Amino acid sequence: MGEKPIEEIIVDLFDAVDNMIDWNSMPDDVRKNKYSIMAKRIASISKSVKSVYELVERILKEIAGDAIFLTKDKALKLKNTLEMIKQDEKRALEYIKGFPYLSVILYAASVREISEKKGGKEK
Amino acid sequence: MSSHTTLNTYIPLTDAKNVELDNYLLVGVLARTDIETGLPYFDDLSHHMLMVAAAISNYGDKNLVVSGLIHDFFKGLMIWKKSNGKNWLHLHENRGVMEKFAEKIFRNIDSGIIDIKKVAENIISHHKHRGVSRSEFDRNIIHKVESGKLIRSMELSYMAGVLHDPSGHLTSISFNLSGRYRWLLAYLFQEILTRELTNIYADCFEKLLGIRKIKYVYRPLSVVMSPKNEIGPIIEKFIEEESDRYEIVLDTSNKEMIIPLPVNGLKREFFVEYNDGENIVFDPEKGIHIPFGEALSTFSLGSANLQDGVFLFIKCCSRKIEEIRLFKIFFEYIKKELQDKIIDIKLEDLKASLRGTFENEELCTFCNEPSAYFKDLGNKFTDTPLLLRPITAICPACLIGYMLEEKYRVGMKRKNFMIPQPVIITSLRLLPDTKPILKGCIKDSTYLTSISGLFWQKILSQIWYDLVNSEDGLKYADRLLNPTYLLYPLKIKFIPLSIFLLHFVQRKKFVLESGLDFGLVAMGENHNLDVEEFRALSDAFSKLKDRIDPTALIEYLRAVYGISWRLPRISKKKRKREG
Repeated sequence: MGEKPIEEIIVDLFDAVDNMIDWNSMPDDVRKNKYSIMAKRIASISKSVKSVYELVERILKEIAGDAIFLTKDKALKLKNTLEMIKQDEKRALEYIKGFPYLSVILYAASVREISEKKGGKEK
Repeated sequence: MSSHTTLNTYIPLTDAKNVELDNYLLVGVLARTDIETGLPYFDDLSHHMLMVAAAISNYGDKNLVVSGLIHDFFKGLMIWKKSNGKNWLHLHENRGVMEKFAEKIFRNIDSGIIDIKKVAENIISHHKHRGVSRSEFDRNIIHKVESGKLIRSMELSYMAGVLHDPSGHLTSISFNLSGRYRWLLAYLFQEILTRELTNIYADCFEKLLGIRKIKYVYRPLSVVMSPKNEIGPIIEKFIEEESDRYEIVLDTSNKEMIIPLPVNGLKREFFVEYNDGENIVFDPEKGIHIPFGEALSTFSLGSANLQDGVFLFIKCCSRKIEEIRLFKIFFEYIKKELQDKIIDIKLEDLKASLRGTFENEELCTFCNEPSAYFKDLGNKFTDTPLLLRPITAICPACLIGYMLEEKYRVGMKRKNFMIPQPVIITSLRLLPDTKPILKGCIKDSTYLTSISGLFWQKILSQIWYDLVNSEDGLKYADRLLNPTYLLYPLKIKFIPLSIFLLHFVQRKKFVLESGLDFGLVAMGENHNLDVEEFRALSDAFSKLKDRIDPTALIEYLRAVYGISWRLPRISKKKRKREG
């Protein structure tokens, strides 16, 4: 799937990762600032990782910790996404390293969770 | 005109399809191009005519001012003649026809107020052509003002040589801008003086014409002009069939003048109004209101020394505006802001310090210019060992900057103080439909942006930040994420910019970085949205249009990057605590 825009690949990747994190089990203030926290963490993690696989592993470890919401479907989705990314891995990693905040915002906007809310507060 | 000109050498823009305005953040009409190179000046037609009229007001003749306000009335028809030099046709060479035109558009204005013959005469002779003698052309005031350094320097931001404007229509005040506190003061100086100038210009237009608002309305033509026509027949046809829709209104009870301008190819109206208001008010659907002071002054980095800035403005109605008076107004503002804390700083010292003429052996820690005061600021800064010394030398300008920063900091709630800067133009192209017709007449190369005027570039940044922070911003998410300015017939894509004068991290301040953060688009609690990132954002938005919600994207930009700018509002409670 080399023709897929890199931005779309990244949105898919974060979607698969985000789905595995059990945000509901986290404190309110964390949930409210979910995307800011994700962006900040991904910015710091992405600096040192060498592969997308490592990136995903560390995101889950550092953001989710024990709060992983794992089902067979979700694991399969993540696996498929990682498979799909393989041939674009370098580009994807470069994009995330270059624009970690933007990558998270693109994903967040694709989820449309806050589109009805005003004032830019995260949910 | 010795050579025979055939109809085919005329290039009317009549085949082009009408241009929708829904994709553009701001709409205007190109004012001028360089005759030799065909490079467009980055200025809007209404603004160009206003500047000429303001400069002409120094002659104290209301007919001249009215002529200046409409002298390029027909440029929006976009009719060009390809000859050795490129020629943007916008006049009928017959006096009788131009008088008839003036009669039509001024038909409801009392002849005691405007002398139609004189206005027509001023307009027809502001360019050299068959209907005008050499001496008439040379005497024409519009031509003199337009071809002088004054207007060009405002339109091109080319400051060399303009600081001593021989026409005497321009005033300039230079600043030494080494150090961020000086930028803060220069910005405030500009803000305050712009308001003062707005009143001066409005008073001038009121004295001459009884108005304090001039509204230009870009109005599409209702009839299709035949591509076979020359400018002469087109203007004649305009007078017969269209002029009823382009009547100029001089409403002295509302102190307003409305000038509709014909634009060949637009689909709906858009206005640019200059007025005596305090702020720029922007409605993406209808138009923009700009205070006179903003439109007729500019703040630019000097050409010789990047540490220098120049505040320039057009003089009007022969009013002498003493520099010291302007500084006094500024000083009064600062005193009011800082209440009694400023007592030991003298106006002369502040002025000399800002201008870079203050003298002393000790150098200021912030700007390395001569200092005059010593303060213990060690507990306020964390980033530089210099300030850990028990006593810090500070110049008058930086001391006031520091005190203002302390004041604003209390009421800011960690918001960032940003100032809109000229946008970065990423692409400047003729509209695809107009390209076959205008190619060769107007050059659409991006390198011309290096000589672009600052005025509209700053306005673009300002309206972008205003809109992105407003409730309405979400309605215009598409336009914000792919910001485009239609300077008809040019389509200009841009990236908005701001600089940060103050930056706080809780109680400690970091103000001594080596330079200003040019290139930053927004400042967030977590991260900066820089130029590269903005470009990537626009790019991603266009690729993921079907998948992402633009309003959500704007909301997350606000939330994660914390886009905000301008002076903070200081609450009374906080002020008390500060005092």
